[in-house]
Amino acid sequence: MRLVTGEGYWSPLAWLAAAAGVLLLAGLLWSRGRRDWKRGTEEELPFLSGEAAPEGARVGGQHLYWGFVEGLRPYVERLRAFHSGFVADYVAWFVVVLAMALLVAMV
Amino acid sequence: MSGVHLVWQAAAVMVGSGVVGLVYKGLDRKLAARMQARVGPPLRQPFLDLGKLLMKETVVPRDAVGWLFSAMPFLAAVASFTALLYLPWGPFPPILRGYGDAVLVLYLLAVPALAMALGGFASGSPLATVGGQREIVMLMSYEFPLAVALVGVVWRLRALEVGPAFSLATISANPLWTAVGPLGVFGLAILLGCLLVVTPAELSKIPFDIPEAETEIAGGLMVEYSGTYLALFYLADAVKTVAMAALVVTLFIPYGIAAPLGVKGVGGQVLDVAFFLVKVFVVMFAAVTTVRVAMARFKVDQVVRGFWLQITAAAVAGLVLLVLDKAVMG
Repeated sequence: MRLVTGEGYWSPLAWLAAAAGVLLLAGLLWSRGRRDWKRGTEEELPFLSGEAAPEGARVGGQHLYWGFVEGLRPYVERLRAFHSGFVADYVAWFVVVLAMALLVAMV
Repeated sequence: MSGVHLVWQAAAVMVGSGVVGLVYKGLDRKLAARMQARVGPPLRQPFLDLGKLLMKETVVPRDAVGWLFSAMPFLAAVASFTALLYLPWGPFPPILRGYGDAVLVLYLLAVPALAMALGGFASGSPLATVGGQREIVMLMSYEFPLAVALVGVVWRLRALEVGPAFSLATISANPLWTAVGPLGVFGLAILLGCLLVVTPAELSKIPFDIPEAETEIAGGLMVEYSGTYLALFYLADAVKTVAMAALVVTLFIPYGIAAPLGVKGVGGQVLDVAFFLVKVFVVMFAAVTTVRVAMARFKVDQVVRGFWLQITAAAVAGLVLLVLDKAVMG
């Protein structure tokens, strides 16, 4: 089976067969290593340089793209300004972009 | 080609690239140490490290999503090793030629980074979560110029009508430098420069080692990995380094040495494979070893700005020059 995407192509089955081969080699390596640890001890706690992890110490979803937002703040702020929260605005944008795409397609 | 022959070749490439990747890792560490006036570890140190990791306990943290945490090292290894099967090896075309193109290789090279980020998120460690978040942001930054560099080469090759342009065998068999005019050569040089900047970012090496950043977040997304799982990530990293450098060589320096020297037959093939490995090493040395010795770590927002604005602008300029070259040369 080969998927052709106009110019490109790939065969998922060939990749899966290759992946199975690599998994076999990785499994061999894994079987040579130790798989045990001292369960129920401090080993299992997250490493925080000796500090106790405060309850619920996580990076929240809203911070996932912090670097991206910080690096491109002027661009992100401009995008944010578009998000008024009114459905009518979003539909208007959709219609404008669709009209432009159709125009380009027709030309 | 028979199935047995194919399996034998694939196994040889995988094992060989694993060994080459670890040897290059040793060379990288030795040469970096020499540049810093240190003696450095012996060349075989990466092999010793791998063996040592296999003897260590493999801890799964208490708060981790166990199956996801354990599966990600395997996914990283699978993606890194299979990428090699779609790349040409000097005079030899890709093992899986006809089964995957250059775009597939780009995706496969992105998977180990995703696997590390997912593993970091799954570990339940705050430091690893910060590292995972940084890895995702990095991925969003360098993929764009990388894709532009590839598209530039492929687009110009397609205009020359030499075969399926996305095929790495076609790209490798048709070096562009002599097929384009002066504008095209300048455009290709810019794209090569962009790709050399992207290479250490793709490999998370200094100055782009932000997701691991030992001095800030103690190893970041790798902080909870140990023993066999860390060994798999270590091996995947060594192999991905070879794959990334091999991609740069295939796109921009696919020349052999046997034909100009008049060496034919098996001797010529051996010479070309050796020359290919030297080119891969030179790319790694130029883009990874020297850069990591000479530079300090960037901040993640600097990386985003640099890749999205300066490097992407440079890559697009290279692409535009190739388009202009086509218009001039016909």
